[in-house]
Amino acid sequence: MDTTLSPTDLAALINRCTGVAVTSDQVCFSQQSFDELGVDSLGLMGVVAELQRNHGMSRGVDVAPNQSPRELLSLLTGKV
Amino acid sequence: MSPAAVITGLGVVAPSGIGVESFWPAIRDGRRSLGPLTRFEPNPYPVVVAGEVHGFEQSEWVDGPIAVQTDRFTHFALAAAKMALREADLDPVDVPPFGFGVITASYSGGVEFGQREIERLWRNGPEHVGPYQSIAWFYAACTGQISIGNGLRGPSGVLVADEAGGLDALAGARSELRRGATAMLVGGTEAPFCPYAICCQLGHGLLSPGDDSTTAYLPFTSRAAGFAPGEGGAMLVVENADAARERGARARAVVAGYGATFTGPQRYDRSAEGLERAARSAVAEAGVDLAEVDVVFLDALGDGRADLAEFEALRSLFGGRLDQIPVTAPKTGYGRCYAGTAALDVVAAVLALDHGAIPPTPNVDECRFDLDLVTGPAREGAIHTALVLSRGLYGGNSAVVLRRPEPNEGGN
Repeated sequence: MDTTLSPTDLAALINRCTGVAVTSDQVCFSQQSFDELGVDSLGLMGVVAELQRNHGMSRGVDVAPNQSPRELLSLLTGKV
Repeated sequence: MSPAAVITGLGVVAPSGIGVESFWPAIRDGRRSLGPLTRFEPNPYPVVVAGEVHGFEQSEWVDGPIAVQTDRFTHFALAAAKMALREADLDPVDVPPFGFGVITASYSGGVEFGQREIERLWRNGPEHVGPYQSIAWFYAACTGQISIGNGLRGPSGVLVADEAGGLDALAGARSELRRGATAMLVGGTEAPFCPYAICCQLGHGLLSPGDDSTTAYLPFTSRAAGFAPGEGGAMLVVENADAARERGARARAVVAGYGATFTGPQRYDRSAEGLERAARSAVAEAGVDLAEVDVVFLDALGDGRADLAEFEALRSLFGGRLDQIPVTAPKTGYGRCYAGTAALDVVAAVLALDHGAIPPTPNVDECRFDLDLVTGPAREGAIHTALVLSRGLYGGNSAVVLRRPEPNEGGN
């Protein structure tokens, strides 16, 4: 199972699961929340499920639409 | 008396063409758009001829995030709604708040999306099913997405009323206009080609097993052996005639009358009386005489008993004049698109009124009944009043009368 995920990979995964175009720069530097990017709660649920299935994300972690992709990435790299 | 309901915009996604500018020449010229079923492979089922929509670029019509969360039938509906608004030259922001609603008819729901998720469920387990399955499969998905996408906050609804639902939806939209809505988007679209949806359809026993696209769907002939299913459908803008005239819109047709009956599931032979009564109600409500009907758009189920019942309904309606009334079924060229079928028939009828030409019944060159079935080239001549018939596979019979608008109704 792939447990390392680059910002580019995460951006592509978000795009694939939600149809919202997110750049790796947005993942690294922006404070924009999922909500502000146009990712709704169902979309975010899909992103989290994908990360849990294929990228070793713990099932106990919850991510809310007012959090940002950057926060999500730090959760992942911190292996919460 | 409340103002008439007038059709001002047409949006089409059909095997015969995307947009009325492609659809009309195709049906007028009797072009054949049936072909092999290729949406999924392999196809082990006893239905190989279908009407598929080719050349539909979803990205031209649907935003990325919406495309990901919706099925192909909703992509068709969103595209057709956009075309209809464009044709009507109507921007929803110019309609009073809560005055613009949407009603769609649905038969299959979001089955291609569902197929994908079912495969994930069986292959990998429940946690692999995407969350958007919860909204993508749903019959209400088209109404919901059209409403959200266009900011329509008026009366909205969904009819899961079988094939005749396409006409029932139009009547529902007209009712909302009478209750005070200014404009309605109405119609139905389908995308019913995936293994599990085909298995569901096999249950009704009416799919043609034929493997030749020119002979698989031949209603009213001695070779009738069921129908070829189709995908696609249509959305129409229907407006309060006064509101349409005030904004200078051209009314293309008046939705003048409607009737519906129910004669029980899988009893096509009994639909004669039901269809006749629906048509009588529609004609009476339209305030026209049966002698004024210039053309009938047939249901054309393609089953011997059902075709006979439709003929009997017409004979009871028109009596000895029946052989003088042109009847047609352009859908033999592209298939029956379930809840999208009647919406496409309404579009075909509006275009026939508009162009003064009755499109033919492709592939059909004989008729086992004493009917003036239009085959070969389109029949030209002024048309003022059209009767559209539709039967559901499970017992609904509906009829709509469309007529040309008078000058004071926005006609020209």
